[in-house]
Amino acid sequence: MSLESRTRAAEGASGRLGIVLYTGPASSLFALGIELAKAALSKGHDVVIFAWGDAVYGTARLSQDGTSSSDGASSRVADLLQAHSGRKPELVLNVCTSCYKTRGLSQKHALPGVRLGGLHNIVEMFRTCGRTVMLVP
Amino acid sequence: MIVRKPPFGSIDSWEALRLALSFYAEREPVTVVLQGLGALNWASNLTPETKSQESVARFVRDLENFGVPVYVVLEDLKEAGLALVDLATPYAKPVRRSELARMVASSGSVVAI
Repeated sequence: MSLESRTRAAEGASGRLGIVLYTGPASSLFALGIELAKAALSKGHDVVIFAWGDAVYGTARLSQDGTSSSDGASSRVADLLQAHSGRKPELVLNVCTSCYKTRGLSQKHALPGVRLGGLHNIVEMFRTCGRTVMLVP
Repeated sequence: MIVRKPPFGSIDSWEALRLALSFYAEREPVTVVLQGLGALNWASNLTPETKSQESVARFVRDLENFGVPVYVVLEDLKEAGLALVDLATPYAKPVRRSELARMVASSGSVVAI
């Protein structure tokens, strides 16, 4: 990689924020993560979110009639994804596939825009984001 | 990677050790430090399966087999009523709390779970 492209990559990385969510969607840490993402996006930073553990519930549509206690949080996530779909600054939301499967979830439950991934996404965050915040109690 | 949670009561330490191995799998240098009740992750004779909880034994084996550096905080081991002989394998190296600060200071990134 040339020095120029390394510099561009570093500059791009410095503007990107990584956020790892681990607690369930009813938790204050989950809400904090979403608010942090919104604040960073409003300042023009790209944001990458990885949902892990019980946080994956906030990235899925669990009920058809809005009776799931996770629906409020997942609706906020859905709105955020829709607002930044195909636009800059970019918002990427990856989730842990094995955490999905452990909880009986699959791609069909995932909100539009959610990508099924794995822990390698966290490693990638540390590589490519200027800062990575892990909201793990 | 500082693991503070014990291998029972929650799946947190299981996930933390899984993440440590993910860093290794992605060829990123990683060191695991077992601190506080996290020191129990390397203790022998724990059978969380009796409460239908995932065992971290496979990660203990994998961390050693793949040569990922693992340290256990000596003072925390003692507070849990254990000695070095109570560890599942001697692969985990003892480290004092005072040395932990130096390790953190010399690390690029620190993840604590």
